[in-house]
Amino acid sequence: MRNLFRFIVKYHATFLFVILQIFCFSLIVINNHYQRTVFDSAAEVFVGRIQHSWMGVTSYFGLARQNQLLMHENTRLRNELQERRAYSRSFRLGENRPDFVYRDAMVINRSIWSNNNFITINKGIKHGLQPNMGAISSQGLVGIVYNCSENYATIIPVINTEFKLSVKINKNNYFGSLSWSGKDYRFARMSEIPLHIEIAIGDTIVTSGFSAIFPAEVPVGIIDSYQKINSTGYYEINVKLFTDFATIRHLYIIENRNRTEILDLESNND
Amino acid sequence: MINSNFTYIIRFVVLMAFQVLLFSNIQGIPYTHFFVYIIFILILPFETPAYVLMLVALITGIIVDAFGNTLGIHASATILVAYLRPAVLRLYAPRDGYEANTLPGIRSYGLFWFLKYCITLVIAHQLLLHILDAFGFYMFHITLLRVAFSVLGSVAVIILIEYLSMKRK
Repeated sequence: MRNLFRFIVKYHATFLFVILQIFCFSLIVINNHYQRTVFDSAAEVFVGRIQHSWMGVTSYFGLARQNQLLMHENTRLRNELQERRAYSRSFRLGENRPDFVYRDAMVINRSIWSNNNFITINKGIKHGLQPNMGAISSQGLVGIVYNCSENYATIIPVINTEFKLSVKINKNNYFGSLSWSGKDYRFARMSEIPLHIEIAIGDTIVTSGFSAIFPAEVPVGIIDSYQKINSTGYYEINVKLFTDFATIRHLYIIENRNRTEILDLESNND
Repeated sequence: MINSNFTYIIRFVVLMAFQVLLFSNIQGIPYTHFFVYIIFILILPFETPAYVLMLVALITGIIVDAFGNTLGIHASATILVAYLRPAVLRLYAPRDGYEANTLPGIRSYGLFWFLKYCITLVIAHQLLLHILDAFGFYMFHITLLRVAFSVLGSVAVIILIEYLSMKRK
């Protein structure tokens, strides 16, 4: 305390100078119109910049919650879309129940480097999930629900060698079968397209809707490259998948309400 | 001592009257302002304490501001001069220091010494004054031009006043 006092006494001239200059500065800014305008606009820029960077910092804290909210909203919108479609169809077919119901889920575990990759999600039987429901991301096709426990479910993604799904080329509706070679989690293989069909690199592949799991035209990927296999008479197509399995976080689970009915009907054919 | 204080008060009043009534209103020469009132800060005795200098500077500046409608600008620049004065005096001190019973002026230390002392502080004064007046560094070359012309004008008048007050004594 005594040192502080001595310090102030020693530099009293400088302290007084600073105090008086602050006093003068406020006098200038308060009393002179031009100087006040300059000061105000400079202060505005300064404060604005601070607030902007602070916003940048704080917005990260709410990100998880914001994502959650967006997921819920997306789910609601997708379901509403299905209802609208069913409603407009009801004028033609006399029914107004949507075929597909969406539920959102979060990925809690996943693998991408093995032959039989799986995805685990945080929704299960309790939330209405059953095996053989479809899973998509906001980017595109993900996989099919394989196993359900009370609170969790596992999904066989496209990047599992067991996976097989009927897909089609969007521009001409020729359909083939999608599977995975086990090499690269970014690519899948499409087969059973005969050689006489014209295809091009960059064509979009979508689901066919024949599986009773997915609605038609869920985006899958684009044709990255293809080979003509003359011995079989079919193309060997390399598909670049839309869904990035390395970063996937949020999923939608799709339930086809007519699935049991379709399967029952089909089993009677045997 | 009382007598000497009284002399300073008279000088102050006369100087301020000349400044606010005459010098502040000379506007014929482009870029040039005659802010000669800081001579009062320059001629105060050597041993005047720093805080007295600054308080006198505050009063001086506020008065000039009040008449010029520039509240705070002259006060700020004049306080800077008062703050720098002891350091400048130390910088230009003769080898043996300042003699007792002398005043900072041409009579005791010569024209050249007074010019150095005067120009240094007038530059500081005018620089802060015109930066505050422009309130920033926009078109700074114009500000510097104003500073240069005003320093020349003000120093010339200050030297003149110094000579006149010497003659009278």
